[in-house]
Amino acid sequence: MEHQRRWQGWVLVGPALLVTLALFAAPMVMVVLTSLYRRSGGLTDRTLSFDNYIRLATDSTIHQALWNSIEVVALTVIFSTLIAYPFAYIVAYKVPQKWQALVLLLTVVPFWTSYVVRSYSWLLVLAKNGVINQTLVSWGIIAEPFTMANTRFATVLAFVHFFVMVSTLTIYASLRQIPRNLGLAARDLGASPLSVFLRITLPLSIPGVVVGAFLTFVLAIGDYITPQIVGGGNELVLPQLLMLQVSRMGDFPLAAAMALVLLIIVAAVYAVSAKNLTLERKR
Amino acid sequence: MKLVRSGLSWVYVLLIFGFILMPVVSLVVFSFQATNLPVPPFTGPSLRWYEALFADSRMIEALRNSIVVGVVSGFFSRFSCRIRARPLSTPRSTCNQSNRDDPLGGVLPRDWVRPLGDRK
Repeated sequence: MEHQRRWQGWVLVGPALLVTLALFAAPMVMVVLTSLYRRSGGLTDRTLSFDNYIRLATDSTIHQALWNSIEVVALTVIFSTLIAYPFAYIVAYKVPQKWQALVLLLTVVPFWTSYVVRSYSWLLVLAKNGVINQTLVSWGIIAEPFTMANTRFATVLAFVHFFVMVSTLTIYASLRQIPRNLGLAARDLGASPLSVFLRITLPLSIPGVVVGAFLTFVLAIGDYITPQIVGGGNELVLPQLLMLQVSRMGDFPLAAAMALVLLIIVAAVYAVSAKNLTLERKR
Repeated sequence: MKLVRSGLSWVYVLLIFGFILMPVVSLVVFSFQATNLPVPPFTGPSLRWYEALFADSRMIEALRNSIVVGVVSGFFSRFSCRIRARPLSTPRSTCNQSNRDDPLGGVLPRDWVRPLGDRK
């Protein structure tokens, strides 16, 4: 009986295990192996070595790209959270219940378009003769159009545009779980609205903030499309450098090592924030 | 004071919607531009670019490829998700416990992933 139940378990889990092994574990093992190969004389030398990791540790171009990535993502996380929190707060507490779903839907709808299309549309808006510059010039606010496209500002703006939506949803979910009675009881006992926010609402909504920030970090640090289309090639981030290794140099081993560095960074951030990575209210 | 705060809240909501919708709205509006550059001033409305798009067989081919890739990858990702999610699904009575214990449980809001595993 026990034997039969164990077999039933394997049959149930088997397909999932196969898919996980084939689509997740096997490619990861290949990336790790490839990162230990070398590019030599235009060919891939399959002798295992740490050459790529030594290059990662010593090459200043790679260091700069990694630093650019971290700066861009840090700015994105900070601004996305700062913009999304008040918005989620207003939707959760100020917008009438029957309109909340509609407001959230309107927030999400633009993101049903392709990622490439959205990035390209930012280029139209930020170009020297784009909507923003032309509007500011015609209103007399600025005399000459200024450069916004193909800068770090453009990359961060396009990232923030997308991740405000992600953070809004996670923070909103967190805020909605806070019982209203807590705030009402605090007000009844003489607490000011600011005190209720700082001592009840904000601490209890931190899990939503952390989940939003974590998703923003994970998705932004590995993103290639937005920095490439909106940010241009002036300030390379690590995924752009990784793609250069693949498309121009054909150096798959070094690209694999870079990919693993990105993975390790994400794993480290997960480890740091894991305690708060839940939208369940702490009991 | 309450009225001012409420007004400011709505102004903030409108600003956020402006920020969120501006790029896509610009793209849609300037797709009807009559001249070559998709930048102000607006010279349309014109269906010139849509006519050019649908008259170009390579564009149609690319559009068809996109649709095929979207449908096929959508089908296989759904299939893959179902067979991977099924063993993780738990009866309602143990759902809370499993969510707390699952290290990935908090990465997505529970309400988003609940339909996968919550069977009445």
